[in-house]
Amino acid sequence: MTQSLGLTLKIWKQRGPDVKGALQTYEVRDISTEASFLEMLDILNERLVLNGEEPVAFDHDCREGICGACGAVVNGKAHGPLKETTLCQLHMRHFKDGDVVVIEPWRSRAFTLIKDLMVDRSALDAIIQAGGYVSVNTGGAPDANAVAVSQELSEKAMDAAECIGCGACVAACPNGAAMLFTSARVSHLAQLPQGKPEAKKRVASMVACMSEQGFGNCGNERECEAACPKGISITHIARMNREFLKSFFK
Amino acid sequence: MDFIGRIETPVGKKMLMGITGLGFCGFLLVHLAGNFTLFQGSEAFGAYTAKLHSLGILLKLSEFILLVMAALHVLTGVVLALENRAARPEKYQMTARHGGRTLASSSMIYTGLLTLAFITLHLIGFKFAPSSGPSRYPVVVATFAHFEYVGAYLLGVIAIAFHVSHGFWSAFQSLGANGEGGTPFLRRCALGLALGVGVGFGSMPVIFFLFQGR
Amino acid sequence: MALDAKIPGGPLEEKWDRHCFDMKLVNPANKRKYTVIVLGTGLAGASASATLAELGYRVKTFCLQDSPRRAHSIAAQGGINAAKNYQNDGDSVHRLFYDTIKGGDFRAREANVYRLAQLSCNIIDQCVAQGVPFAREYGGLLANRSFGGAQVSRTFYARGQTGQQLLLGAYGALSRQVAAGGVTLFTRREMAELVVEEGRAAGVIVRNLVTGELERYAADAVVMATGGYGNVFYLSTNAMSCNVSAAMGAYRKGALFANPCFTQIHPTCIPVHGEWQSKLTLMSESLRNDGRVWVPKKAGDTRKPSDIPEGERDYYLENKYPAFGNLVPRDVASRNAKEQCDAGKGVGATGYAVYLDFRDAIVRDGRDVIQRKYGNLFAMYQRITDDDPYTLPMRIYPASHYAMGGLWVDYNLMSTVPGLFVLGEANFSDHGANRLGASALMQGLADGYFIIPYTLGGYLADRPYKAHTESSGAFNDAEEAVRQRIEGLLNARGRRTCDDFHRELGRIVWEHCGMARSNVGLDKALSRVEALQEAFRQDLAMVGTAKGVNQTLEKAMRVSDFISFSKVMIADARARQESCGSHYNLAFQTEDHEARRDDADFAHVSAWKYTGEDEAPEREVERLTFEHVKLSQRSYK
Ligand SMILES: Cc1cc2nc3c(=O)[nH]c(=O)nc-3n(C[C@H](O)[C@H](O)[C@H](O)COP(=O)(O)OP(=O)(O)OC[C@H]3O[C@@H](n4cnc5c(N)ncnc54)[C@H](O)[C@@H]3O)c2cc1C
Ligand code: FES
Repeated sequence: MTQSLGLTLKIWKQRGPDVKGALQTYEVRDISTEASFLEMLDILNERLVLNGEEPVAFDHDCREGICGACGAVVNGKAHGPLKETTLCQLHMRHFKDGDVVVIEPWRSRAFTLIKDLMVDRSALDAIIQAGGYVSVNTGGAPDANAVAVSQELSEKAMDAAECIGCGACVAACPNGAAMLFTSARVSHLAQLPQGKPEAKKRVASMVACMSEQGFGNCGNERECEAACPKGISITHIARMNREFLKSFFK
Repeated sequence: MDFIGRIETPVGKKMLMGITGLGFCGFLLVHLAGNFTLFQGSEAFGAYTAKLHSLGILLKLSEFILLVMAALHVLTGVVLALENRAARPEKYQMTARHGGRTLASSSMIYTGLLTLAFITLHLIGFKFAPSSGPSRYPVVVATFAHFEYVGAYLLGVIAIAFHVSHGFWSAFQSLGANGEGGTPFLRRCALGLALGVGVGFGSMPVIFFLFQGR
Repeated sequence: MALDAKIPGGPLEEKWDRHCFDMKLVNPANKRKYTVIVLGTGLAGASASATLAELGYRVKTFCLQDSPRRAHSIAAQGGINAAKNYQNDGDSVHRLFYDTIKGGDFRAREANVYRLAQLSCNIIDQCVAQGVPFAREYGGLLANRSFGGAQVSRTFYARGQTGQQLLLGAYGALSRQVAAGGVTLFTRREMAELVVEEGRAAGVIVRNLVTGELERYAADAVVMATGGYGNVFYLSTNAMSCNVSAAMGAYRKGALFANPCFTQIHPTCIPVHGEWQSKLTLMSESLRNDGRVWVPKKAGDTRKPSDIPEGERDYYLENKYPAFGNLVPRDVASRNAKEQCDAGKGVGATGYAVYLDFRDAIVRDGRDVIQRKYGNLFAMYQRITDDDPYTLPMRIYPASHYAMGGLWVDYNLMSTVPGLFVLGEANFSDHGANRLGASALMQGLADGYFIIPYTLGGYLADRPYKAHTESSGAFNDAEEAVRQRIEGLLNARGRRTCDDFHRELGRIVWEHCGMARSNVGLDKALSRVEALQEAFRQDLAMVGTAKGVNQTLEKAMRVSDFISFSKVMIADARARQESCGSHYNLAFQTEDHEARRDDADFAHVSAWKYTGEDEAPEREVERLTFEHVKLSQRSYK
């Protein structure tokens, strides 16, 4: 049933990377339980604009859990309380009237804060640029059915490929590591015949890039897996580690 | 990237932790098995230690390897912890667990350092203690007669058990030896090992304290 | 001016090959002397950037999002078509060509569509080589499904995330070129103005969305792949940042806007449920393979669906179109849903929804089978609506989804501004008045991987290098114009938010320029939009400054362009005095209430020319000639 909620929001407000930020408190009323979390923020922002106040800056785009743009730490949890759900897909029916909701940006040395809940995640792109692809130019690809790939293998590769690159794994990791993100790409490509020829080179440079970008180290605490809105498993991290081990041997 | 370069990556360091950590797990089991001779009385323990010392150069070699492993494990562990701390300069105002983290996994650096302290004391107390005769059995009896020592010991053993309960399965994960759906199994093994180590080593001071070496 | 599409001569099958041979080539050593700007990193932009850089051009690539991987293409669910005929079910390049032309209700160019069908096969090869994990059969070969009412299985897919996987493939290729130095990437940048010098595209002014600064980039050609304008309806299945601003920028600088009234309204979306709602979520078309669409026979029936007996349900698509049933093309399915709801037979709280029921499929195939096929979609539906589609029928309603219209381009994908190329959803090219499912991904990638690399060379081969510099007067003027526009918006101190204006705009065009149109309605819509535009100028609430992140300003710039654009869209709908595909004017229907085309007068592309902000645009016409297909009345009975 549709109901409406009143909430106390404590949102991280920070004008830019070089100034100090703090939690700021806002009250919102009459939020429909059918609204999504971001729609709740929209409602707040419209009100703020009408009052001549600065709205809360946050990243978002598809609002259907696939682009990976949205994300904030809600009451200590990346993407909020619901499992396998991005912030944009989280609906207000999972909150109760009178709740206090603390909303903070992803925090990591590798993610510079831009404004409020917005952070710079280009470090994730840098990891992909370090080798997260198959080096084929356009044209000259053999017929798509020239190489058979078992259904099982391609499904497993797809399990990894579902990563949306939102950075929740980094945000949730107590060590600010980017292992789940990196391993998803490594694992996806390492399992397919197309990705095999440069598998060793790929894993070595992507792994090295993680620390260059300022991410922390894996503690195998499994917070990433638990926070991942796509439910990507840490067995991909194990596979990346295995691939990395292989890269020691020529 | 050369060999050292690879070891220095986040994954390389964790592999180093995993290999050395698994080495220690093996050592713990051997040590535990040996120590059980304590319960068979002074002679049995004496025979065990004598046998050990008769290995001569082999014993020295293993001790040296253990020392190197310890140095690598501790140093790398501390480096990892410091790097991890630096990876999130601004902390969250509110934190919550997502469902992966456990008490053991979140306290590895602390249980690790406690273990280090414990081992140091342990070595001073038992290995390097001036002994009156060929057997160290009396040293054990004397030490575990003290309530404070027993307490400190138990603390150390608990730290080790916690450390192992995460470290053991974590090592497999870091070394890539975890397959599809393998995590729960490995974690159960780690828990079993931790319990074994904890109860095994923990029983010694307690029993000696209570029964004065029978 | 007669619009010349520059369609090469020769038999249909050979046009593209011949053209590729006839075009001049740029000497490989000279390619690096040319700079090309690519706007957009969706399938079209990312594939073009990567391929051009592979060839040696210096590419500068821009996108709005923080990462190229987040372009809206990521959201495509269903699949991508290709005439591979792997299923041996009678598909061929010619059949894909024919289906696309017919699906578009004969309002697309034969030569373009044929080329698209030809290139479709190369796309799949390319994507597989990149490691795109398409679905496969047990034997290890690629799987296909039938989609969007096609009678052959030619759709390749990767679970319900085909767009994501294709985009990640293209993003990988792009990332590789970024690492290699061939592409310089500029994220969080919004094109604010196209710079035209001596009649040619010379570069762009972009606004840095982080610093707020205006930046200048000169180039030898500009490739625009900025996606579609479905968000003109406010609520749509598009991502929030999808906009018409880049296209409008080009339009104001002389590029023609073609067929703006051809917008696709997708039949299976989760219905609207509140004023605060920000977007509508698509439920993949594939659901119609097993779900049955129905409404209660009686108007105003508020019983629970399970309480409505079989005899009192109207499976209106199955009854009306026995041959295609629930699988009729999108425009037909959408229009029928609207008709039912307008007749008071809609369901749900608002009465603007119809049922999509899986009861019979679950009984027939078992819950397991249905779950395997649609599990993730059902989960998504449940997450949003809190209803369980295994036990309750889904409620669905049409929503704005795709823009067939776009900037006019010739066969080389060049707009009427020389040096400005337009790819992907941003151009008008291949889908006519209605796009078939799984064809947009195909078109975006064909444009980016396989067409622009050739046709751009054909253009640049005759051009000097570095003909334009960022310090020129044209750049000064363009930047100044943007600065003034931004200042104007920032000075607003009214009482209505951007979203509020956008919502009203959406309501106007949805009602009058949506699934069904009438001359009276369109005229009314135009005057209401004009009034809205006036109100926008007077009463916009604005905060913040030009410096730094200002999402309110970003929105205001986009909404103001949507308002201007909607006038062109309405004008186009008004001028097209026929019905075809998605453009359904109530005055032009057959006895069965299907679209009645007027091929004698309207077998053409209408392309609109900017004449001033408050002036009516001028219409130009490109006649479409059909030599290889017979124009027929689409029938899905
Ligand atoms: C929910 C959904 C499902 C779909 N499913 C399918 C399907 O199954 N099969 C199919 O074939 N098609 C499908 N489509 C359609 C298809 O996804 C799109 O038509 C296609 O992806 C468009 O690709 P594009 O590269 O042209 O543009 P987009 O992917 O929209 O990319 C636009 C790019 O331009 C950039 N940009 C935009 N404006 C500016 C500006 N002003 N300045 C700078 N950069 C700018 C953006 O940042 C972005 O990078 C679907 C569409 C939707 C909405
Ligand atoms: S907005 Fe795209 S994933 Fe949330």
